[in-house]
Amino acid sequence: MKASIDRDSLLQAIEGFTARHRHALHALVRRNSQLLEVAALMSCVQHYEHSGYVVSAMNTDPAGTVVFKSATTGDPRKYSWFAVATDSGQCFEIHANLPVKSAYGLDGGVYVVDVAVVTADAAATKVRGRQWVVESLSVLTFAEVKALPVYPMLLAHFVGIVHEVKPQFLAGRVPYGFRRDRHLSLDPWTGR
Amino acid sequence: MVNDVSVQLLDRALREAPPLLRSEILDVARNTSGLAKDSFVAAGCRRPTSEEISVFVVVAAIRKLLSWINFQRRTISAVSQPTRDFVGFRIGRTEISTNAQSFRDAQAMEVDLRTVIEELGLTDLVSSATLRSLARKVHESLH
Repeated sequence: MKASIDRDSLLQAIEGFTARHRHALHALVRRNSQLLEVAALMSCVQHYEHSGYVVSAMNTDPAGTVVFKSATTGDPRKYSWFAVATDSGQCFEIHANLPVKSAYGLDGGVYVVDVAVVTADAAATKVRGRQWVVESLSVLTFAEVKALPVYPMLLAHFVGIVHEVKPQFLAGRVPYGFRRDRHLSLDPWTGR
Repeated sequence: MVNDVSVQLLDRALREAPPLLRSEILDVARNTSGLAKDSFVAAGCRRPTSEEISVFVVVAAIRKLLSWINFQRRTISAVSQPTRDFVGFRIGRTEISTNAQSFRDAQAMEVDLRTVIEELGLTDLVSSATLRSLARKVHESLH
């Protein structure tokens, strides 16, 4: 028998559900933005795995747990990261919430990108207080995530970060070997 | 046309939900309500009834709630697969792994919500890929 659908029974069901899971829903909301960043990091890890690389978690805690860097400050080497390697050896690394110095370099701009793919020899240097930075030249590519519906200013925000961190990407130019190595990329004109 | 009555009733039904979740679901409900007329017309229904629009808006809200919970459950699952060389993530004191209570909570909520959806006869409606498709299914369900 087909169930009859009416607005009031749907509303009652929503009310009952949110009352039953009130505490769990509050906890869910508290960790949602963190999970979004974790999901972005893991999507990046999976991208390189599917591209034929061997990806390994580095600097995990004694229990084998990835220590996720959720803050914009702090020494990136005190947290975990992922090493990405080919059969011939280590190639590069994937970090979460990595502060990157602006490509221009003289304006003191620091941009914390959600996921950064950097060269294996990328060194983080302390600039002041708890602020560490990596040179933009060490960044091969990066990803930013937002849990928002797309709107023009949001796209402008993304383009602005690319402009500050890897401006050459805006002209559609990528370094030699970038496509061969299957780095994360999104062509601004084709969206692929 | 924004069907404010449905949005107001949803607001009341969500009073136990956390403010951020409530506000996001209500945003979806308002946007869906604003697109209701066009979606029904595109689905071949020129004059949707107020009941059809209400169901359309409330089902979209339920979809949003399900997507929040499903995203969390799938993300936690993805970070703690047995084939990985790590057991999960730690963010400050928060553990993110399939061994954590948060995963069991997300799993239990998803099972419960899917059961509710099935009991209400909404499984097909909730799986609609577009608003037009949802409008068509709502129209067919109520006739």
